[in-house]
Amino acid sequence: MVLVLVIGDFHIPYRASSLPPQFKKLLVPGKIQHILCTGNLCTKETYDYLKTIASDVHVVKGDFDESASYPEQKVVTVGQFKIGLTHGHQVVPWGDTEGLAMLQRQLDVDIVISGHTHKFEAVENEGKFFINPGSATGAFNALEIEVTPSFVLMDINGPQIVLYVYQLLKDVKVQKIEYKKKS
Amino acid sequence: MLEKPGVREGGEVESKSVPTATNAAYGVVSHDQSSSGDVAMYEISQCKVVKLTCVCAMSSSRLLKNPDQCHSVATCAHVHCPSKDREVTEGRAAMPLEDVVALYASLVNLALKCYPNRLDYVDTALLCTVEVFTKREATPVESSSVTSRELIRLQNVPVKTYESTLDILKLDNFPKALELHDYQGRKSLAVSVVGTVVSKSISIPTADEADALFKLLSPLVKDQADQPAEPPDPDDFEEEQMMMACLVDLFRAPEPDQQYMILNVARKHFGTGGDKRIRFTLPPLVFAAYKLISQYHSLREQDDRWLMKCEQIFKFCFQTINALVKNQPELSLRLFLQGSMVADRISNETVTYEFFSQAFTLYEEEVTDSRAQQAAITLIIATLEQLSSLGEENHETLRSNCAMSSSRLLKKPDQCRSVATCAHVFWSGHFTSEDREVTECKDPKRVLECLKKAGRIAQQCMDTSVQALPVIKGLLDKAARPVSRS
Repeated sequence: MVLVLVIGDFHIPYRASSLPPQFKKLLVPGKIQHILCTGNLCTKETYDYLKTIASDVHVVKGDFDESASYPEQKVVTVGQFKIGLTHGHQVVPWGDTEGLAMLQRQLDVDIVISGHTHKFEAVENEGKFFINPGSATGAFNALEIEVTPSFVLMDINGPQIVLYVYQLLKDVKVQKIEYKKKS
Repeated sequence: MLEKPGVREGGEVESKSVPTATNAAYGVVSHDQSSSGDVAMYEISQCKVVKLTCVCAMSSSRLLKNPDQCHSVATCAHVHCPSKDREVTEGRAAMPLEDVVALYASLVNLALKCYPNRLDYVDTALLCTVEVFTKREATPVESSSVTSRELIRLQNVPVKTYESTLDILKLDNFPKALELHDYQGRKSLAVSVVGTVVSKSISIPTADEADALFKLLSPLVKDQADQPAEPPDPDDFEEEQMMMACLVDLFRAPEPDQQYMILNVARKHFGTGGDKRIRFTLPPLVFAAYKLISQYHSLREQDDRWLMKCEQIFKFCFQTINALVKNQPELSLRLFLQGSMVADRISNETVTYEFFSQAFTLYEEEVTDSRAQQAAITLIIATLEQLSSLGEENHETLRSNCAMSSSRLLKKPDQCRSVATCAHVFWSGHFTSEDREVTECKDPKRVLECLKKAGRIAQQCMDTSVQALPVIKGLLDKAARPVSRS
């Protein structure tokens, strides 16, 4: 069992002052093995916070990230899964299924993780899986009326992944989604 | 259970006459009859009051379980209402300042424990402290001194203890006590205040409170006359300004009109911060303003002046972003693009075009690094693809400009990718026709033109770099999409 935290679009301090306390309580150090962050932290402070939760942190560059050192895309292998990570503002039109599918083919991965839309999504398309963890802080998005804070925890077990989706409505709501890799 | 009389950290036991009075006072403290409170008052006024009260205050803050004990001890504190205080401390003019401060700190602690709702007790203690210092002409207090440490400790007590940190704004004498310090002392307290407000996520609901808070935080808001000439540690400075930026998210007025007033107050204060501060503090203000516009839009049924108010806020945003252009052109470009999307959502074509064209102008005039250009033009094209309120002519102008700029990028692979991305705007981009219908561009001729051009550029790439292969593959994929959709 490998736990991977998929999270991003914090936009601290430009659009939010902090992670919701209900989320902070859940993100206990030492339980999670990897963190895949879609970007738009936007500052080192948030990166340092992620490092306290797990030591293996991967971040890609969002359109408001200050640091130039994050790459535009990254491919990470966890267990049997090749995972592609990008912020998503580079995929035009934003959030487009086919655009993301194109990226999946280009990176040759099983799972594509992207953000930018601040809307949680988990879609299976032609045997590949596309995840958007949404915005961890519920940060403002010009194209969305209401943004629900959310993040995703992936439990990778052999060829199977269980996604736990955490969304903050009045309280924290958890959804479970399963995905099996087609051999 | 009770401390040795007259002895405290770093202090000395007083002269012989104290023990008797102290014992009497102890006797009083342990009784819970209100009459003994009067006895306490008598005893206290007769003997070496200063040390005694210190003892009372300190020991009582440790043994406060019984509300009646609390009362009798609080009576001790009453003795130190203004008139008595002055007698006390004047009579003990030789008493070192740090001891005076420690005394008042104990009283403040006591007041907060016994009567947390009585802000006036704390305020009075602060007033007395200020008066002592003023009388002895002991200002500004040097931040390296023991006195300063004690004074900061005193002032931090209400900051850290109050459930609603903004209650410190109701203490009229808190700002006066702040003025006693030198620059370092004032800054240290400002950092403590803003750190507490942000970590506790305390909402700031009115413009007046925001204004009072910013005045307290003056050392962080702007350069001070007495601040040292050498520049501060950049990491510390950045951390402090990030906390100031976080304050914006805590502006939570119950009504949008009030929220706008708060934003204006914040703008006024942040504007005095200079270039090195506004790069942290102005962007969150812009986003807060965008959020406010969305709020007015969603409440438009209830406010027939909402359009006018939104235009006002857009002007506010425009001027605020312009303050950042000189030093942060790329950030300003992104802020303008965000603004164009906000305007687009409320179907304001004029502002959408204005903000978008400003972003474009910044791209052409200020973004010179090739990598930054590639990133910026991608954002510009992607944003245009999302807009729908522009009229046909305006949209045509902008998408042609996008295509032209794409073909002028430095590196061939970037040109190729960017021109190919433009194809999307010619296909799935939207404009508003004359009869107010939102129409998709669906221009197959221009789409094909873009793709062919991208193909020609890609062929030029092939001669010089292997990285063009994914570019070509991407192109073919892109070509397949609009065709498969139509």
